[in-house]
Amino acid sequence: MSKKIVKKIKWKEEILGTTFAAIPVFGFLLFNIVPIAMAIYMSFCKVSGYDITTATYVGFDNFKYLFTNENSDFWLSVKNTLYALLSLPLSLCGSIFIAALLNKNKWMTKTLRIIYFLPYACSVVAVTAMWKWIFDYNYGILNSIFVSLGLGRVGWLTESSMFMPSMLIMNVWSGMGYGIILLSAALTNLPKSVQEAAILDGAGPVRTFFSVILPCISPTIFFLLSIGLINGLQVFPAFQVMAADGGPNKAGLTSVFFIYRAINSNMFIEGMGIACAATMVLTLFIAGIVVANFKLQKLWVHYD
Amino acid sequence: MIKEAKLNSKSGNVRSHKKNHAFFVVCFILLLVYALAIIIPFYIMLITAFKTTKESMNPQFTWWPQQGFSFEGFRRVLIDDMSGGGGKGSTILRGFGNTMLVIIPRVAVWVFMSSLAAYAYAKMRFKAKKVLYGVLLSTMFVPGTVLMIPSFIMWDNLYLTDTFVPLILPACFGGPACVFFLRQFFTGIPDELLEAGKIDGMGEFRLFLNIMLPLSIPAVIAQIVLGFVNGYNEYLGPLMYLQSPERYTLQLALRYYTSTYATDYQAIMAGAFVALVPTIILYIAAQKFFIEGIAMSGLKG
Repeated sequence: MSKKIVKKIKWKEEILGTTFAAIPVFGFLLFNIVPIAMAIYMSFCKVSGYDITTATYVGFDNFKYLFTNENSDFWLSVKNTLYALLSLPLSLCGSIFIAALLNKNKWMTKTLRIIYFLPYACSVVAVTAMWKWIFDYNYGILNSIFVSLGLGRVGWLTESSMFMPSMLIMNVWSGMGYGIILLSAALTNLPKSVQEAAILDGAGPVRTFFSVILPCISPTIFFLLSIGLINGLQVFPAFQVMAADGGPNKAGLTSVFFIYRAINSNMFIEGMGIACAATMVLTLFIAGIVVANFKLQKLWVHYD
Repeated sequence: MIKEAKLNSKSGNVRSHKKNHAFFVVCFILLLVYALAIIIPFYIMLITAFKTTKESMNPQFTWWPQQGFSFEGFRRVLIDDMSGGGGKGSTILRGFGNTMLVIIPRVAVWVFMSSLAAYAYAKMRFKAKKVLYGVLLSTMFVPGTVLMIPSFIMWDNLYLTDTFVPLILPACFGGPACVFFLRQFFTGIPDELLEAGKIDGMGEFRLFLNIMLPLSIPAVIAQIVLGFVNGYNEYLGPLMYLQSPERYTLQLALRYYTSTYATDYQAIMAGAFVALVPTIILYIAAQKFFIEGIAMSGLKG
């Protein structure tokens, strides 16, 4: 009798547990696997408009267009994306530096941390509007300072060679907070004895930092690098807000921007099939980089 | 001799102490400079919003409004309708209302479903646990923009673009990062507390609702704040799915507003500032939850 009840309770737990746990997985399958399957199928098809019923199989034509057609902006967009990815090493080094200083700091550490993290809580649209104003050619503060120093005005957002450096400044400015929070948490969790041992061994502060502290926080750096690569290869919103047309000479046309053009009726150039093919190439590229990053971690990441 | 050594060591201490002090001051100054670099752009935004249009268009930037404070920019934010008239009221305020319509149900259901799943992963016994958890965690690595075009086509073929459905429904099943974070927290709550409830005859759902959730309020609040700020700032989703200006969420409305005003930066900065205020207030009020939530989910990820 009691055995039966226990069995019944166990069965109930089995069913309820599986249901509760499966809800997010089900959501993922529904809203991710279905679109991914559609994207794979459509990358080999010609689609007119958004109507999937018009899809006709064309083999590798879409991919051929991406890589060989002279009207295709795909290579340009890949080049721009890799250029924009420079903000990752810059903000990573910057946030390691600031987090290390913050760890040694004695005054106002809490307030400083709140300030550093502020850009992370702010929306891309507002932050980009803010920087657009700072970079403004005629009235912006940067050019105002340049002029009063006797230097000429700089076309921060209007010259194609300056557009990406300007975006890098903005992205590093807004991207460092996240790394600082994670790294300073990792540094605070470091046992004091590790550093003391290094100092007793006669290592200076710089030496201690590079040979002892840095390897200890390498898992966090690896995490930031992985997230940064995945996100960095998908940069788009800030670029779209800064220059909806892709910037001077399409200097701000990133890969995801290229893909997005397919669903914006004003920029409708390539069509859904080609956009899906570009999506596939980008996905494989991201997957390759993520896998390589995971393989390479053995060389430099230390899990104690 | 002993005295000398003592003296030596003392003076050495003083010197190293002084050196240390200088080191700390330099550290602090560097940190302060970086803090200023973060704050100055916000200050420029705010001060421009309060300038008169004429002064904001002055090629020589002024750090303080020389012609007095003007509220013209804020007036425009609160009144101007960009959607081609019709007297429907301020674009920005309507955008704020739309954003709330999207994120309040979304965050509520998202956190509830995530915590239910997290409870199952943390405290219940069932055979498929490991497999399901593995699948769930792997979904964190799917690059979001890969889904952009096919999701759009899917919703378009369901006649659901230009509605809030594509923005709300996918999040209603819970998210992997949120499940992961809450599972960490739930695992730390002792089983004995749940056993007591079981003996009282509570079912799993009651156990979750009456025991687990009340014990996990800080973790749940952290996730609600994160979900709220992320939803409030979301741009890509609304940009793809919403076409009619009257359905624009705040970020899209702000984008629309700034591109309509083009170079009238006094109006634009006022709009950007008004849009930032709710998140900044929420962030500062809940910064403990916010920063700890991020540090925890990031570190253990």
